[in-house]
Amino acid sequence: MTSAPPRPTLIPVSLTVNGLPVDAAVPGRLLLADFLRDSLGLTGTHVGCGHGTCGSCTVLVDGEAVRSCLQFAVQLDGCAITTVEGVSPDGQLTPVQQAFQDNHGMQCGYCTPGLVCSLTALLAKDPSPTEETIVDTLNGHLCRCTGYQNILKAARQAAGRPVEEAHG
Amino acid sequence: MKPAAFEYRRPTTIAAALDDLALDAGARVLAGGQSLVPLLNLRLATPSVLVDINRVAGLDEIAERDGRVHIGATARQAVVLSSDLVRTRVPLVAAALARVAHPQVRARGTVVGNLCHHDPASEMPAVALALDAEFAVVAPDGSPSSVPAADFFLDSFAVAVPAGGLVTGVSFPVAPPGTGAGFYEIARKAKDFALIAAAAQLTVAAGTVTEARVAVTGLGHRPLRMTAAEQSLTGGPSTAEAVRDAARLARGEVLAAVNTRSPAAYRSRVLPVVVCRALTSALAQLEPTP
Repeated sequence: MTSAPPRPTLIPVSLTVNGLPVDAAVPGRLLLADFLRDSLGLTGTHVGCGHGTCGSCTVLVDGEAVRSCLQFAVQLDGCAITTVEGVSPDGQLTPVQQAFQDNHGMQCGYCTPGLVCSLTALLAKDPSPTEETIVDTLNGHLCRCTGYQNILKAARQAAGRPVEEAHG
Repeated sequence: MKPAAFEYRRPTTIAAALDDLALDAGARVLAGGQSLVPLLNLRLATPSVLVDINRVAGLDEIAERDGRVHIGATARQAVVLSSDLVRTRVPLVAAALARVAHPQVRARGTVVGNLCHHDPASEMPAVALALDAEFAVVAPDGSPSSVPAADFFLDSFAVAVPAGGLVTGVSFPVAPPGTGAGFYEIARKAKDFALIAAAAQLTVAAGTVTEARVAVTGLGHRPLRMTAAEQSLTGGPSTAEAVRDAARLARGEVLAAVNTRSPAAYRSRVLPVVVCRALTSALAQLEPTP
């Protein structure tokens, strides 16, 4: 008979998630993405690749868009997290969400929460980003449906730019 | 994908960080984590202890002292990239950093962590080598030393830091007046790792090149300095023709094994082109804008 593996050491963390205080005790190796999904039930944060390539799990940490699969929950002690569930505190669509709906900026929708979080962070810092800045931000996300053109249109609308690409 | 279990430590001083690193030979430093955590998630790395240095006071500095710009071990790439000090005083650092990863990764990733990880396809080691960067290394016994970039990059994913030691920062010399910086990279897609990239900096006085610095990443297991090209430019005219002639002298052993996505023959072929474009970009910065 083999003995049970040792129980992991739990480390206390206090953070804010979508405006609400959260106190928890977590193993060091618990990723923020898993903490949000499995411990808090916030399954709007999607895990795609699990190693920082795809951007699906992007959330806001103190207002900055980051990969939640590349952070440990224990590192976020004292931080404020916003997930896709929290970008619209009043339950109305934000301009970013409305732009995704208006332009059908999704196909299967798996990558959408990460994109919404990234663009929310971008527009909070820079309400009128250039095309280059928008593309730079979208570059951090993969859409396996390859629905990039409508995502780009949505991003342009949210940024107050012409939705259709200017030619010539 | 879940990392294997490890003991998590979060020191707030360098001395405490060294104590934590001394807990076990398998201890690793966690800074931004944008290279390390993928390795943990894939279980390509299974450290026994993870020493999170993000709350060590003072390591996030970006400051000019003694003619150099110092970047601390926890200074985020995004913060460094948007720093006016970095953009104006060490423009080559900013030019290359814009090509490193995505904004979402740069928000957490650190310049020093990126250099210490030393992926042979990474951009910043070429900049560090070209500019004669100095790494502030603290040995396990707490004694500090300064390691020049030429001695720092040992091999792919290997740098000159003793086991249990800590890199607390890196410094770059302030660009002299009349300096232009250029970075040129070939990558398969935007913000991907470089297949090959060149970092170049030219300092010109009265139409004569007084200093030329060129280094290339992606050829072998370490960044390489293009000394023949540098020598050809130094003391000569700051012209497009001189740049083209110098770029033809770009040489270096090109190893196939370093990059399976890009044949050695291809990288050999484009090496002078990449060097020429980086130098041309540096030269363009020196010309008065209309």
